[in-house]
Amino acid sequence: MEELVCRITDEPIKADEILRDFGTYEHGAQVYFLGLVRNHNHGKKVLAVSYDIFAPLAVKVLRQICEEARDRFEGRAKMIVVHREGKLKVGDVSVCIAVSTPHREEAYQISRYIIEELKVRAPIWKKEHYETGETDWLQGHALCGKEGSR
Amino acid sequence: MIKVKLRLFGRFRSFYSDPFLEIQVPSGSDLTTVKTFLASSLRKIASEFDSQLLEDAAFADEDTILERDARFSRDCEIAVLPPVCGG
Repeated sequence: MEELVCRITDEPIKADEILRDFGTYEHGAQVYFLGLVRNHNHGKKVLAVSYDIFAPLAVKVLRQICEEARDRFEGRAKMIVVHREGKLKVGDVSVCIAVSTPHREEAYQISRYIIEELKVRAPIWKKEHYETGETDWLQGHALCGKEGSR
Repeated sequence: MIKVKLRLFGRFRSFYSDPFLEIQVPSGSDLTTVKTFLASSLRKIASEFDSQLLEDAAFADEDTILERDARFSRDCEIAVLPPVCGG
């Protein structure tokens, strides 16, 4: 398996398949993070979430985030980041992040770094579908303050 | 004039259901001019359009976020990215 895999998919994320053959005997730590669709938000009952993604740029941004994490925490890290697009129901996996490193500290740090940066830098948007039949696009973080377009 | 095909994402889809909106701007226009023309088009399409959304939006091609001084001298396609919230 490649040292770094980042992709967007419209198919259900099956963590067991993604993680097959992940890691290496040189690494003693693996951290897996799964983001799931929650059934409530700000007091409203959520039935589903639609993910809108600018896939070509999103993959590039995710790779950039992972490479930053490698530079910052552990150069030997292996990483997989898979993000789902389309309409997901409550309990579905929206994002899977897997990190493999020689020691646990760096695996936790890298996993946390990836999800926190993904939330504010990757061109991904969420629309919630509520029990009432209403929908709403969630507020987010402006990319124009990050790089370029200032 | 050149044609700029704008690919809309996220909340912009609340105002225009088609993922693409084409506008015409003078050749050599910068991003600020494109924004002005886009705002005008969206206001005609949807009276409830909130121009703050465009103020907070970034523009990008498939490789990178565009700088404010990016200029357009031929027909092109760019993405309009409102504030993001993945995960």
